[in-house]
Parts: sequence; structure tokens; C-alpha cells
Amino acid sequence: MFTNPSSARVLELIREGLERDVLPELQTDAARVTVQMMQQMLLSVERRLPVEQQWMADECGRMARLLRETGEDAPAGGGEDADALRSIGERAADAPAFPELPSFAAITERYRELSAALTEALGRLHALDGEGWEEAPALIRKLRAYLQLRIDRDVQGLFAMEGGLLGRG
Amino acid sequence: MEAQLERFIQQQRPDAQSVRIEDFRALAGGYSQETYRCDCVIESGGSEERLPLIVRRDPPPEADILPTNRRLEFQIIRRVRERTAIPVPQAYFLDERGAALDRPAMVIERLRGSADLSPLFAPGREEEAEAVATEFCERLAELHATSLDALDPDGEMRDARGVGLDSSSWETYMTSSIDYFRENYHRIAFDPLPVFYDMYASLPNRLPEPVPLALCHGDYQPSNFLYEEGRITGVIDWENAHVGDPREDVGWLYQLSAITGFDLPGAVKAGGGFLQHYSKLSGIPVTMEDVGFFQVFSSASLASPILDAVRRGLDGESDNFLSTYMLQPLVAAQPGYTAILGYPAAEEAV
Repeated sequence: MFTNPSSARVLELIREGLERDVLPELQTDAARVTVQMMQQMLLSVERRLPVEQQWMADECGRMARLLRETGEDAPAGGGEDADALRSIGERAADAPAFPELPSFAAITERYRELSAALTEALGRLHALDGEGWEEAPALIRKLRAYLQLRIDRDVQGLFAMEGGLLGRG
Repeated sequence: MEAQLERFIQQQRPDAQSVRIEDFRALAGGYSQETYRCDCVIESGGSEERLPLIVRRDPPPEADILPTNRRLEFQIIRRVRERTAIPVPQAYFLDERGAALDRPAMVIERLRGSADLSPLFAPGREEEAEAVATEFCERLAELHATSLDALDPDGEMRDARGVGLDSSSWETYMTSSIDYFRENYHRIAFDPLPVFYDMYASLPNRLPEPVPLALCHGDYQPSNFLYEEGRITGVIDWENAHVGDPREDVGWLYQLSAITGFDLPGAVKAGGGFLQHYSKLSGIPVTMEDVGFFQVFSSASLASPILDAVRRGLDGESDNFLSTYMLQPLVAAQPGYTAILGYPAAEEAV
């Protein structure tokens, strides 16, 4: 998948396109306000994307700890409510903890570095193939198998092309 | 723009008492030139002439996805019309520097016919589809069999994009093209794009047998012709025409036929099928292996300006949303490239 543009940057470009190309052409105030609402929500998603996974994982740990401690502090002999708090705390304590997720920026940087290295490696292998090194085709095939996985994920999982390629013709 | 166009045509036709533009409108879509249609009514010598027109104008430079030269396009349309039987529009007027129409533009004939292939490929119209596809094959063979002395006597199409290609021989053309793809990748890759680089880097090891260079249309594919009642009425969109290996057009046609689902090569039965029929008429031998190579080569060639357009959008050099949208076809095209390059299935991945 692309690291440049990131998903957040794509959303930013869409917001800018709406501002520059669409808003000035709209004929009614209602339509303009609707587009502004869309822009605001796109901005929200832009801000959420880079932190969503990391914050959710972090907060899972915080919630589980809080609930466990609350259950432990529930008064003995406190009746149904106290029993329920202890039960909630035990269930929260049973849930497996997530490992700490690297930041989105760190993952992106590593992904970009490795992608650049893989790209260069392909070029080097083709050069060696051209020089007749017998192992090159098998190694190229291994890299290509990984790339096929990557392309399959991009196309099937990420990219929407419903309606075909728009604007051509 | 209508008033500008009227004044421009009046300048070009000093014999006219009046020039009137009617039914002027922009044609939606298209990734390269701004395209408009209109009728032009010219009064001259007591009679009235009505010309159905297409106006193609360069977009603003920052919005140009595939920068090409209007003068060369205008010139090659004229030469193809004069020196072959391929149906192309009459090229009427050229505003080479945009003095009249703000940016370089050309005014050409609007031909009859439809570019919509969905009805042609609908069940029950197989004979008509075969006739059109066969003629499309024959027109391509005719283009490639026409001497470069006739179509490019001054050699201007030998490096039509002005990127430093050496077309003095087949070998230098192929080498300089592949070198350009690779060097250009490093200049424009806005992100590591291993499949694209794999395409470029694999080409030198797969070179086919040489053939004489010819004039290539450069985008010979299902959406670039018009047809009517089983006949082709026009081959259009010559902006990417250039001197190259004629099999580039064949590879690109196969590639785009596969992508669009309009299998023009598969519809040809004459002479044993598209490749045999084309080879017999043009004198240029083409194997399926060659087709695969030139699918990659042509894709590499056309991917370069598209990658650059995306880069310009991301770098803030262009504020055209189309530059951003070009990310979509870049990703969508990759399974086609991996198929041509013979990638193994993802299940082999370690």
C-alpha cells in the first residue's frame, strides 16, 4: 500500500478538491452546507486515522486495569451491586492484553524503507539475471510472490473501483 | 470561449462574411485535453457551410496529465488523412501557441459514429463486432506498413515527447526508452512502487526480435475509435503518436481490451485471428510472447506521465483533483502488470 499519500493525506486532498472545485459551483445554500459538513467529517477521519488503532489498544489496557481495580475495591458483603463489580473486574482481567502498538509514523517509516529496499533488490536481481546468474529467477519469483500478496490486499481490501474508471472518454 | 473561437475561425477563413458557433459545449471526461464540440456556421460567397467540430485544447500546465504537443497531433492527423486510407478527422485549424484560444488548441472535424462499445459487444451483434474488430486490425496494419518517410518526413515524431529517445535504430530506441523509464522512475516515484520498477527493470532481459520502427498511434485501444453500421468511421486521439516499435500498439490494444472487457483482438477471425491477420497485412511478425513484452513496455511508457501527474499533485505543483484520482487506476492496473510479468500466486509468499 502507499505510504505517500497516507490515507489521511488522501482525505485532505479530497477536502481540498471539494473546496476548490465543487463548492464554488454549487447553486444552493443547502448544498453548500452539506458539502461543508462532509468536509468537517473528512477532517475528523483524517485526524482519527493515524491514532485510532494505537489509542484503542492503549485504552483497552486502561479500561481493563480500571475495571479490575474497581472490582478488587468493591466492598465485601456489599450485596448484588458489589458482586457484579467483582464479576466485571474478573472478566476484564481475563481478557488478554494487547502488546503495545508502534506509532503509525514508526510503522509507516519502516514500511517505506523496506519497500524501497525491496524495489532496489528487484532491480539488482534483474541486472544479475541479465548477467546470467542462475539463482536470480528463483529469487525474483520469491519477491514477486510477496508483491502479489501485497497487490491482492490493495485491490481486494483497500481500493474501491466500483463504477469503473471514472471520467474517461 | 465561443466568441474567441468565432474570431479565431474568422481569422483562419478570411473569405467568410460571418462565422457563427452554435451548440457549443464541453465534453465531460477525458484525462488529457480539454475537449469541446460545436457546430460552426460559415457564410461565404452567398452560401452557408455548417461544420461539425471538435476543439481540443491543452489544459493549464499544472493540470496536464499527459503533456503532448498540439502541433504534432494536428500534423500527424493531416498526414495520416492524406497518405493513408485510415479514416481520421479533417484537421481544420491550429492555434499553435494559444494566441487566439489562450492555450494551444486545434479545431478538427467531428466525425459520425459512436465510441460506445457496449451495444456492439451485446449478444446478437457478433457479426458486426467481428467486422469492426477486423477493420480495426486492418487499419493498424495499414498504419504500421506506411513508410515513415511519408508520415514523418522531418523526423519530428522520433522523440515526440521530447524525453531524449534515440530512434536512429530499433536497438537504440528500445535501449533509450527503457533507460528513460528507469531514470524517470527515480525522478517521479512519490513512494516506493516495486511493481512498476519491476516492469522497467525486467524489460532488458526480455527484448524481442527487432522489427523496423514505424509510426505508432500510441493509444490504440477500444475507446479511441468511432464506428457505425459495422464500419469504423474514425480513428481518434492521436496525441500520443510517435515513432516506435509497431508492436507497442498491438500490446497496448491487448492490454486495454483485457482491462475494458471489449475483446477486439478476440473478435477477429480473418486469416486465423488478430495476430496472423495483422502480421500478414503489415509484414510485421508478432508472437504472443511479443504481445506480452509490449503490454509491459506500453504500460511502462504510459505509466510514467501518470505517475508524474500524481507526484505533482502530492507535491503541490498541481491543484487538479484528477492528479489525486490517478492513484485509483495506478493501483487497479497492478494486477494486470503482475499477470503479464508472470507473478506467482500470493500463496507462495513466505
